[in-house]
Amino acid sequence: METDFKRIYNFIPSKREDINYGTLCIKGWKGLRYVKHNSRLKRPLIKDEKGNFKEADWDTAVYTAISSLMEILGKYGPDSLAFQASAKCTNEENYLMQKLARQVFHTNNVDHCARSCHASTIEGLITSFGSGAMTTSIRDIDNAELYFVIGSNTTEQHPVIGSRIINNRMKGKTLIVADPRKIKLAEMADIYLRHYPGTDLALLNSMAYVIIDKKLYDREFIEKRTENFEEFSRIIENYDPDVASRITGVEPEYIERAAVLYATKKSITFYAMGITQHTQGTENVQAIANLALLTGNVGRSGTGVAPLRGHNNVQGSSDMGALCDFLPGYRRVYDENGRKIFEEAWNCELPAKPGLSLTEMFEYALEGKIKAMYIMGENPVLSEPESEKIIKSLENLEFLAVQDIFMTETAEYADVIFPSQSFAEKLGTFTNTERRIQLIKPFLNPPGEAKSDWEIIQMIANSAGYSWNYNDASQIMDEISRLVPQYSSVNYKCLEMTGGLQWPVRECHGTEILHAERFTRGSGRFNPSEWKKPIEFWDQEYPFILTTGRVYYQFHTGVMTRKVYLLEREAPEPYVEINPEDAKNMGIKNNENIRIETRHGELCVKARITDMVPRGILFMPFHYIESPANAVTNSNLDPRAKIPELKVTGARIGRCQ
Amino acid sequence: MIYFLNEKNLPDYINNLLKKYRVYGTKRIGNDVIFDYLDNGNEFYDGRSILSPKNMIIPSWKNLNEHDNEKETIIFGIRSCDLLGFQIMESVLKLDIEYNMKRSLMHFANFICSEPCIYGFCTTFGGPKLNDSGAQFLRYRDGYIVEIRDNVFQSNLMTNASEEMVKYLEGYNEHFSELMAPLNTEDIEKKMSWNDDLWNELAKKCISCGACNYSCPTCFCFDINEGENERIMEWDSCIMEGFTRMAGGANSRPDLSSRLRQRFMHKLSYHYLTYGIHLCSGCGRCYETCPVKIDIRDVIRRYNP
Ligand code: SF4
Ligand code: SF4
Repeated sequence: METDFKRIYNFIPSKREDINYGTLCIKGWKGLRYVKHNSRLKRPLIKDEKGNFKEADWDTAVYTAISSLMEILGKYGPDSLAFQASAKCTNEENYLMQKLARQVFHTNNVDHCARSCHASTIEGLITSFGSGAMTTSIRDIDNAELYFVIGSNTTEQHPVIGSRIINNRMKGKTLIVADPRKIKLAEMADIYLRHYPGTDLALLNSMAYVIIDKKLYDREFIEKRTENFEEFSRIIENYDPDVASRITGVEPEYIERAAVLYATKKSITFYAMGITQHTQGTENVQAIANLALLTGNVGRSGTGVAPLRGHNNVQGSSDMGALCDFLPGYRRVYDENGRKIFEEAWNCELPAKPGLSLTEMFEYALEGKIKAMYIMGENPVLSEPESEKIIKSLENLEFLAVQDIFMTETAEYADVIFPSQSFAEKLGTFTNTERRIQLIKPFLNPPGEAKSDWEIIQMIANSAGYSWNYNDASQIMDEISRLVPQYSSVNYKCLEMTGGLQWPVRECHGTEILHAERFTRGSGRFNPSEWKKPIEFWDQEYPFILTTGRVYYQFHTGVMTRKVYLLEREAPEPYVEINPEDAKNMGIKNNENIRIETRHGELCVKARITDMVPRGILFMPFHYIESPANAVTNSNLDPRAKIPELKVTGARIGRCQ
Repeated sequence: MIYFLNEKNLPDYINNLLKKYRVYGTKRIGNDVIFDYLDNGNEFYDGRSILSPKNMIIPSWKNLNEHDNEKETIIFGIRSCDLLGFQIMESVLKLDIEYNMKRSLMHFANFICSEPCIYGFCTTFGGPKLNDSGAQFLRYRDGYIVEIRDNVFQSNLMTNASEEMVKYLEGYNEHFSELMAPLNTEDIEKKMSWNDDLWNELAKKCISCGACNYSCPTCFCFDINEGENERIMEWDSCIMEGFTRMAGGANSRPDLSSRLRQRFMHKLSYHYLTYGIHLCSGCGRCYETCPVKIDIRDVIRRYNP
C-alpha cells in the first residue's frame, strides 16, 4: 500500500512467498477502494419520531443506545437481547462484542455470519479432529499430489488459492472436482464429478466404500491414531457406487476412480459453502474428515482438509467465541470448566445455555421474543435467507443499534447508527483461512468522527457501569492471549517481527500443520452418517433446484464491492443460470426476465442460458438488493450447526409481467 | 556529461534534491520495494519496485473533482524497463494536454540494474541502458557512474568520471546482453496469428485478475465513472468482460480467449504496426504478478522460437 499525503494511491501485492506470492485477485487490486468512498458514515445517527436519521454527537448516541438496551434488559431479561459480531472486524473487536453480550448483558445470544457459512465446519471438524480450522497451510498446497475440490468455486472465491491449484495442475498434479456447476477448475480436472446438489454425503460415503472395499486405507494410521472405525465401516457398507450413483447422478466408475486416486496420493481436500450450507452440513464436513482419516491424508505435509473461509476474519471471529454455543477458544458454553475460566477473568456469572444462532435470532424477533438487537458490521437483510422475514423481524424490534462503515439495507431499520472505522484506519489482528494471525496497522485517517468498533463497544460497556479500560487494541490481545489457548503468547511485537503466525502459537512460534503428532482432541474420530434427502428436492410442484453462490467481482452483500465502479461494471446485475435444454423446453430466451418461485417467495430476474449448470438446476448469485436471492431460499437448519440450507431450495419458473 | 557519485554521498545528494523538489522514490517495507514520497535521503533503497510508478501519470484511482497542486517531482530509482514504459506510453499519451502538463513537471533518475532480474527481458527492447533519461545511475565499485542529461540532477557531490567508467557505461548493454539474451521479435507483428489455439489454452488458466494490466508499465487504459460528488478515474483492464461491452450488451470480445489475444496482439503487433514500437518494455511484471504464470516470453518464442 502506498499512500500520498494520507490519500490512497495504490494497492500492491506483497511478494510474501507464504501467502499470495506477489499476486492479488481483482478484488485485491480494486475492491478495497471503498474505504475512501465519500458515502462513508462520518457521525453517529439517531432516528427521530418521524423516522428520519439525524446526526448526533457520540455521547448522545451512546446514551440513547444504552438507555434503551438497559430498559429492555430490565423489562424482559437478558435473553431478549441479541448481538451480532462480524467476520469483517478484527479479533479484538469480536472478542469484545461477545464479552459485551456475555459479561454486560448476561446472554449467549451472540453470533455472526460464520453461522451461515462455516458453523458446520467448526462443529464437524471439532468432533473429528478437535480443531475447527484448515489443517494445513497455503504454502503447503504445493507439496500435495492431488487436489480434491468439492463445493468450492475456488478460482472465483479464493483466487489466490485457486491459482495455486491451477499452477500445480499445470505441473501435472492430479485434480478432482465435485460440483454441480461446471466451474473453471472442472474444465481442467482429471476427474469431474457432477453430482446433484445436496447429495455430497452420499458421494463422499461412496468414495470411502471404494477405499475400504479395495483395501486402500491406511491401516497403521487407523489403528494408531483414530477411533470408531468399526461403526464407520458398518455404515459405509450401504454406499456402494451403484447405490450412490442413483442418488448422486455420478457414474459409478467415476466415483471409483476418484476414490482410488484420492487414497493413493498425498491429497488435500478443499471445500466451502457447497458443503457447509446444507441441513447435513456438519455430516458433510465429517465425511470429508472421515476420508482423510481413512487414508492418513491429514497431519503431514501435502495432505489435509482445507475449509476455505470467505471473509478476512471468519476464522478469527469464530476463534474469539463470537458464537452462541462457544466461548473464546471453542470452549462450549455448557462446559462448566470452560465457563469458569471466563467467569474468573471477567468476574461475573456466565449463562450455561447456548444462545440463539443467527437465523434463530431473527425468528425469535419475529415472534417478539427478541426485543433488541445490536449488529456490528453485518447486513443480514441481504446475507440471510428469507430476507422478507428478516426485514419484518427488524421492524418488530423495540430497539436496533448498528455499527457500520456505510449505510446498509439493514441500518435503515436501526434506531441508532454508529460510524465505525475500516481496516485501513485501525490497529488490530485478523486470522486468515490458514489460521494465520496477522497484524493490521492504520494508514489512513478515519472519516469524520468514525471510531473503531472496539472503542464503540467499550463505550457501551462503560456506560452500562463497567470499567473496561483498554487503551488500544494490543491490550485486548494481551487479554485474549491469556484466555484463549490457541492464541497463547501472541502479542503485537511478535506478530510484527514474524509477519504473522499460524495458531496454535507457542512462544512466538506458529504451527504450519495441525494434528501432526496427535489430534487436538487426542485421536481422530470417524463420524459416519447416513445420507438424507434434503428437505426440499425435486418434486412435481417444484421441478427445479435453486442453488446460490457468488460472482468473482462482488463480495458478500456488495456493501463494499458495489461501490467500486469497475467491479460493478463487470457484474452489474443479478441473473439466474439455466441449462440450455431447460430453457429451450420452457421457451426461455437469453436475458429474458423470468420469475423464480419457491415455497418461500418469488422474484423476477434475468435468465442466463449456460451449460455451467446441469438440467434441473438453477443458480443465482446473492449479492444484489434488486433481486435478493435470499428472498426465495429456504432457512431449514442443520440441527447441530444451525446453518441454513442455502444450497438446495425447490423452485419453479413462471413468467414475469 | 558523465560523473561518479560515491554511495556515501547518495543520501545527501537526495537531500539536496529534496530542498527544491518532491522526490518520489523507491523504499523498502519489509521485503517489498515500493515507490513513495521520500522524506529524506536515507529512506531511498536501490531496488526494483513491485509496481512501476506509472500511477504518477495514470493514477490507479483518482477523484477528478479533487484537484492536486501539481509540483515538480523527481522520480528517483526507477528501473530502465519502467522508464522505457513511460517513453513507450508517450507514443499515445502525447496528444493529451493533462499528460503533457504532468510530464513537463517530472524528472527521471533511473537506476540501471547491475544484474538481470529473474523475469525481465529488457535487452529485447534496447535496455537496460537507455538513450534518453534525465539521469542514469549505474552501480560501479563503491558508487555510481551517473550520466546526466537534465540539469536538475547536477551536483557538486559528484566528480568527473574516469575514462574507464565511461567505457564501462558505453559497453554496458553489450555486456548485459550476454547475461540476459534478447528474445527475437523480428517480424513478430506479422507472424502472430488470430486463430492460434494458444489463446484458448491461455484462457483455460487465466482467472481474470487484471494483474497483467495493472502491473504493466506500458498499459495506459483507464475508465471514468461519475457518481454522487465524484468523478472517478481508475485503471482499466482489457482482460475484463466489461471493457468492450456496449450499452445494450453487445460485446466485440465476449470470451476470455479473445481478450487475451487482444492483449498480446496489441502489445506485440498492433501497436508496432501503428507507432513503430512494441507496447512492451520487457519488464516481465505481467509474468511475475500473474497468479497462473502466463508468460509473455512464451508468446514471443512461439512465433520466433
Ligand atoms: S507486457 Fe509484460 S513484460 Fe511487457 S512491459 Fe508489460 S508487464 Fe512488462
Ligand atoms: S495476470 Fe494472469 S490471470 Fe490475471 S488477468 Fe492477466 S493473464 Fe489472466
